Amino acid sequence: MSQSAKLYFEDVELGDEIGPAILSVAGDQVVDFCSLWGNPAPNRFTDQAEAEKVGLDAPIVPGIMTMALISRVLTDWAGVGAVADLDLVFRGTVPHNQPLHVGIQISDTDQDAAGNHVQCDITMTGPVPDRPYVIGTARLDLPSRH
Amino acid sequence: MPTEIEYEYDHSLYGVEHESGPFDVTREIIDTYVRSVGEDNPVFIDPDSARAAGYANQVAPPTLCALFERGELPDIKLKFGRRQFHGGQRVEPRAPIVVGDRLTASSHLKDVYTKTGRSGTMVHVVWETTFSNQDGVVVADVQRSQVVRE
Amino acid sequence: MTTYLDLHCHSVASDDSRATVEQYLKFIQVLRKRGFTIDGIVLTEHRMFDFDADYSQLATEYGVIVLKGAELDTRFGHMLVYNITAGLARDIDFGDVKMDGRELIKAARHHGGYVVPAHPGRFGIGLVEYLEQGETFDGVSIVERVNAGSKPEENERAEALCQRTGYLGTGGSDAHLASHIGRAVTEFSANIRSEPELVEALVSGDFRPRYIQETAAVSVG
Repeated sequence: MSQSAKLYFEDVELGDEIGPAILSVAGDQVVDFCSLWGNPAPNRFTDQAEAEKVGLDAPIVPGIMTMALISRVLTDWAGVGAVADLDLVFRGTVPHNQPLHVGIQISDTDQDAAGNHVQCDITMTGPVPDRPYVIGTARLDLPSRH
Repeated sequence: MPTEIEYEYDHSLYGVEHESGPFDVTREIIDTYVRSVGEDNPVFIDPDSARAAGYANQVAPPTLCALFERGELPDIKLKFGRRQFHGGQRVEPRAPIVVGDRLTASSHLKDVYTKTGRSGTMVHVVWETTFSNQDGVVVADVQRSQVVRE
Repeated sequence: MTTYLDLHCHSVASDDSRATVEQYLKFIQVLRKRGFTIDGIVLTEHRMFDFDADYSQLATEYGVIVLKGAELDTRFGHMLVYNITAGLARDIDFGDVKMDGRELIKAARHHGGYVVPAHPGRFGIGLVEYLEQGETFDGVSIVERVNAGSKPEENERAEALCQRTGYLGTGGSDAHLASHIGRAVTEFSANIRSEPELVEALVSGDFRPRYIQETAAVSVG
């Protein structure tokens, strides 16, 4: 999927909606991710009891892992090197083992001497498009067909 | 009219650059990262594919450097609240990060402010970090917002 | 003449918004192309008001009314303030997140402004919580009944509040992203082009909240 996906500036238009891409994160993926920053399990991201100790109902997906997942969705769609800015606000806790819907909507397009820029709004929600777990924006720098 | 929220912190951190690192970008780190988030683009998982695509080596996904920043930021000695959570994160990749890179980080305190929400009063602590590689090339600008709750 | 205004949105001047004013105005063109009606927006930045911000050129360029207000944190929840004057800014510390909302309501009226409690049904932060705790708010007669950033059950609580008390209700998107602008608006029977006219229209009581879908059949203008 990723290798062939390549997006050009002319392919998108203000208001276009992409997705949602539907993801799910298993507990062992989170354990794997947490090992990267020397935060060994059990912790609030991987363990029920540790999560409850800090007032959570269940272990959650770490913010930077959520960002990595959204970055993956963007790269799968637009290609390697397209993400020039990813700016996220974590509004709610992201659960394990639940469908996570990542929606993208084009909110601006602009061409200048520095390149061809596409601004996207991003939301990550559960299956019910309720208040999002995450909102944010991404700027993609894309090649032109011309 | 005085603000009723009392919170103290170390204001002397403003205007001071905090250096951290070096952070070695190893194949193991990138492999674990891409495996855990399901990233499957060949340039992120295979050095030869990355080289064929014009990169010097296996490429790190664009937000990987946010990992290194975590745990490296100074304690602002905030006298408020008990629980912390990650409120926001911004990454602006500037240049590719590849296996074999050695990164250093320079961070400064951007802002500390209060607001209220569903979970009561919160203090937001915002840091900005610039990552550079072994050649002095800026590879990413990162912003992190940590939230402390009542 | 009818005016459809989004009474609650945040630009990048607010810490948690990621939309510029121009991006909102561009996206309103998308909404209009889709057949929806929105005449203007009121920027309600968190805990601040910028007297110097001038959006008149953008407003003309995109044909959208752009008014300015604020959303202030108080110990009784967030409150939308319209027609902010230098006098009000002198009397009220907009950054005080624990200010007495009742004092804000009084001060705003004194200075020709108007306060509408935001998302009153929102759990943990809405007016309903404080009413249930026995607090009273003499100066309140209008609340934000439809907030497109709230959960459905929170908007239901706001609607129940209006039915129980007779409060009138406004609508706003609470947008923090460009593509969320206009998801809810307020339909006024009056022609509104300025903040004082907005207050006048609120005081008249001749308005109602609308979801964007409900504006689809209305001819633009």
